Amino acid sequence: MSVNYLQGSDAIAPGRVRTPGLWRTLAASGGGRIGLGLAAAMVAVIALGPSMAPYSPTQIGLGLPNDPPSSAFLFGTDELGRDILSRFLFGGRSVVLMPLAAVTLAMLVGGGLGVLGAYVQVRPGLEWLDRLISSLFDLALALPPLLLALVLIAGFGTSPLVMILAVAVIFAPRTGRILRGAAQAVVTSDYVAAAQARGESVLYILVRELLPNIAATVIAEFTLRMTWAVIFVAALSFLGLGAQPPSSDWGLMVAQARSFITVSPLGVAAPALGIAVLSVSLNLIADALARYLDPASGKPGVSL
Amino acid sequence: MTAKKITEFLAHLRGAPGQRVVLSRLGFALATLLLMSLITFAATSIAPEDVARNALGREVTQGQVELFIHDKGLDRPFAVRYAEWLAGAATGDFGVSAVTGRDVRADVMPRLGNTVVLALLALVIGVPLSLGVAVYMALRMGGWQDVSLLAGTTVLTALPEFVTGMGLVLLFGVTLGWLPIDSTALLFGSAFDNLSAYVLPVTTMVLVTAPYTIRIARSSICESLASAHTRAAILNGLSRRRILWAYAVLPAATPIINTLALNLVYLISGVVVIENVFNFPGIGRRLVEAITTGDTYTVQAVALLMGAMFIIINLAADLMAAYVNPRLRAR
Amino acid sequence: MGEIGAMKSTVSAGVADNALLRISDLSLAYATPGGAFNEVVRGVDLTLRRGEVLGLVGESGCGKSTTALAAMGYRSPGVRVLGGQVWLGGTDLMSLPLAELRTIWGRKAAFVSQQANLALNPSLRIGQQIADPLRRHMGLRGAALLRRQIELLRRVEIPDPERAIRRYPFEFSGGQQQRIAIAVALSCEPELLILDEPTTGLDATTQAHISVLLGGLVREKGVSVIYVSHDLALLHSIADRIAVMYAGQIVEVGTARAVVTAALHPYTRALMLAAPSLERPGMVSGIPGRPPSSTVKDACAFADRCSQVRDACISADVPLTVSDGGHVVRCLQANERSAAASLLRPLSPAIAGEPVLAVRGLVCTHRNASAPTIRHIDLDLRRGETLGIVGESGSGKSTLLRAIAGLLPPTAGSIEFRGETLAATVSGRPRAQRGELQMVFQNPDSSLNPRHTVRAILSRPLRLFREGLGRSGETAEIERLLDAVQLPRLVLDRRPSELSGGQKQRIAIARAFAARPAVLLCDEITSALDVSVQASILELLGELAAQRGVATIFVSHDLAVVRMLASRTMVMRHGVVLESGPTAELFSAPRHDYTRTLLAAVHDLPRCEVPTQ
Repeated sequence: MSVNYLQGSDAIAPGRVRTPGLWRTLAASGGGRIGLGLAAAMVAVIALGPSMAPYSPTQIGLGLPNDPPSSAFLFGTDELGRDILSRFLFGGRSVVLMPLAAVTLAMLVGGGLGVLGAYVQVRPGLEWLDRLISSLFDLALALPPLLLALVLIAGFGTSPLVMILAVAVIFAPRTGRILRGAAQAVVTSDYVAAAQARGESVLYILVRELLPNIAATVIAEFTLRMTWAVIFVAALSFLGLGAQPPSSDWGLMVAQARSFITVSPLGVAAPALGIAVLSVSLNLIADALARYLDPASGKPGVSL
Repeated sequence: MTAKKITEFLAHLRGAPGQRVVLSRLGFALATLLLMSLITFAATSIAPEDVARNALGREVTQGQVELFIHDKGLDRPFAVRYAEWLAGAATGDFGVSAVTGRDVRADVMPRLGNTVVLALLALVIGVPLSLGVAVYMALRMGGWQDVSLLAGTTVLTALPEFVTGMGLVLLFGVTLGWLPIDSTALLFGSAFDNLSAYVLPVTTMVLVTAPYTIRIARSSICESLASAHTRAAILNGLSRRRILWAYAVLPAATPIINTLALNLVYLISGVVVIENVFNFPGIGRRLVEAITTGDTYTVQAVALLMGAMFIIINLAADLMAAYVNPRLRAR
Repeated sequence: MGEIGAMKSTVSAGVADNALLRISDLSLAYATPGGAFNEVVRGVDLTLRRGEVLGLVGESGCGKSTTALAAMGYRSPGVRVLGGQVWLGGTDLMSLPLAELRTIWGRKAAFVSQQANLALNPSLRIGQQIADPLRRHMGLRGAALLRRQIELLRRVEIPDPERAIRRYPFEFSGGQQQRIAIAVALSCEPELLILDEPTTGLDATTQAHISVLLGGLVREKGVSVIYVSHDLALLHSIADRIAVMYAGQIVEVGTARAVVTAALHPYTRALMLAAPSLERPGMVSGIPGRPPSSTVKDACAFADRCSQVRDACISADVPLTVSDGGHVVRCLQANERSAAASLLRPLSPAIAGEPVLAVRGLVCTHRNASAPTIRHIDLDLRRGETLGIVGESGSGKSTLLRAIAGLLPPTAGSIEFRGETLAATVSGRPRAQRGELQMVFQNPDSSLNPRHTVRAILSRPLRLFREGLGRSGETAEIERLLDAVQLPRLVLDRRPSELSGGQKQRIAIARAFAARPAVLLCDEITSALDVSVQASILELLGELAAQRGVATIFVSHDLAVVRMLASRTMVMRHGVVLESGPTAELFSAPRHDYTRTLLAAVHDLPRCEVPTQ
């Protein structure tokens, strides 16, 4: 009996209807577009800022202390007579780079452990390793994050390096738990069972079966973690426990200009706005990515 | 509590709902507290020389450092010092600060009071506000009220607390001049000054915590509104009010309580940043001062206090979430 | 089926004046993200008479659930009413405001949805959920309310109702949850009851129990019922009349007997030929293609899958025509029936000789489980034969397959393949053995890596188990495999998400055959598919296995499917084999009570009277 299965709407059409990719989903949502636009603008300011700055960010006594905005100093000067605009244009780099370093470290260590934990779940005899890793995560997650960072900084000294390590320590178990969950869904799927039944190597399963399927989660998790890291690191710099003078890090700039807020409000407003726009843009992108991963989250409810 | 009292307490719990849950959470909380104390003590005083140099300043001779170490018993093994410190901490004795020369407990306790008042005010205002707004938004999901509130909460959630706080200072303190730009008045001001000193810090805390609660609560309620059991309730002709509270909000209680717990926990640690924005005389401000001045004993005391509060609130929230979860409450 | 049949009322066909519900010219559409409307229900006219059970049947996505909800006057979120009325008594539900609908819902008309585990509020005690409509519509309070709650729970056979009212939904089994949902729906004695696949997803014996219970309730209360299902055999035994839906349109309506024994629409006939049956063992035949995702204008919607299609079918809308006894059909060729192919085909016999696979005393215990999942299983599989394993969920049938595949190390027992003992885990088995033992999984969504193309999926086993093919040999072999599973070469660069469920399962089968297996392990491979697609997959599998002399173990919960495919059958429950033997013998003279219960739970179509010319 020969039946042509390719009739009607089951025919494979030459034109393809693909599920929209991550990038396209991001660009399709209003929030995602605004987020991408703002992020692009901030990256431009942060990357090109130093080459456009009229003065050195650390040069003292360029003008009178706390001078109001003028044609020479567009944003005015701070309490040491430094140019606020130049300090602002230089101060964005550490606001992005320190969280980037911390999150990358956290994802490598925490995410690595999480994926390992998920993977050993299907290796008979190694389940204890997953239980050990999960318990470590649970215990670490029960500790108060900001307090833990403060204690570590109190013990090991105030420096950007200590702060990056402290933030990485705090984020590692959080990121690890998310990636363990994502990897678990893949590892327990039948296509991994099928690969195991074929006798594929561990390396093949990790690289060809697992990684492509958690890539979107990794990207979304990275973005989400970055939004929190930017806030967290800026707050620590604001407290004087991250970036150190004479750096013009935006968090530190806000803290230093705090005492002169009535005479030179732009010293607080410019860096605060910079952090705000950066953080909002990252958040919008992270929200859009979360919707990509869980499209059902936005389904319509009933109206009562 | 004596051993007998503990046994009685446990016997009372036996047969009570979720006894095993209570005990396992209690044990876990104790373990966490111990770990926190160990990390705190280890990070801050594992190297006696650092403790001494922090206390005495940079311009000291090696002799002075050694004398200090010997005086304070810092040359004894770490385990002994940790046990001694923990025993002291349990009775409220954190020693005398080598930097300020004051008893740490007497220094910290009044500030703890200020912080607790601040956090409670934020809680009392923030929780009903967030729940009310969340239900309002869920009922108007997709409407302009919902969309604009959602946009507002998205921006507010994204802002670091010191940016929100500084924004309020710039607006109400500098531009409008209605409110004091910091809260130092609390230390010596009049009753009215006291009150106005709380306004901006409390507002900041509410603006920082509420949007997150609102977003989570709104999406959990919306999820229940889209569920099959809400549709079944509608098709049974139940009243709008009954469907809303019993079929949409009640099943969303667990995530909402978890979020509120996160909020509370945040109030304890996030208070550090906000107190520093407003120079508010609480323990958060004291902790940062102590770190920058190398006041080891004060750092240890505040970290342990805040850590304990964090862990206790987490425990309470866990138990409450377990209580509203029918799977754990049943039988 | 005697008791279930009692659900049928004595209403005779052709009398329409005692209608309770009349749906007229109803058209519904889903709003698409782009702002356009995708019409899913088109010009539906249906009448439900007082005391009647009307069955509504069709494949998934044909609009039957959307129609059932609309029959309540309910507007689902995202659904727009393009036109039409729903008359309940003298009122048009479609034009009523929500406030007035609330007085009808639960009181005059009630709805039971599928998946009771989701339809009950997880945070509310079930007593509360039964009390809610009673308080609202009947004003019951206090002792009277309690009495009624307990009476209702007792009526739906929930054990210990006094205590049950204080329990939460999760404390009940799936079948009990559905019975509680039925109690809630019937609490205020509605005139109209709409059942939307109320037993789908439940075990066969639970399904049968609920059907019997529903039959009793319907007869006792005199309620009129619209019963939505994809199962024509079930509706034949329950309904007075059956309406068949396709692509959002009613294509045939008639008495249950007329629709099943003298079907007029080619689609209805094709549905019956696709359904495996105990009474007419032999191969089923699938319906080519799949239903359109929205309604079709200016043509017969079934034209592209129909073997009798003519020019007239695709040039204009096809009207409903009435023939003898009020039997209504939407087909231009209704009176020119095609010759039905003879579908009986002999099963491939086992090839004599030593068993290719022998399992002895196999015991498997899952991690964290106290008792073993399967206990002391023995089985033999000979070359070319198909062994069916039947059991309900939790019987351990899938565990057994995974243990044979080496994915789950057994705690005791042995598995021999061609006389050699197999290593417990797959990593200990030589490559040749791994290639010769292949498995096809239940759900192709989970068994095909969504990030791989079809080419990557098919080339992998070739590279591992068919060394020396070379690049051109590999391409040729992949093309041969695609031909064998009847898919075009266009699919090679597609990913699984771009294919339909049936197409995906074909790829999974092709992957298994790529390794040239001697033994094929099939784990419920059609349970996620519609009946018409299932038929094509079964046909394909039967042909391939016979051609290549592959021995197959076919695990299923569906007795009719096993009856059709397997020469020998094993019945499993709670991890042990209750009974095994030649299929024909086991089905005609079951020895074990449980087998008899399973067989009794199967609704079967009577011998199909497809006239041949």
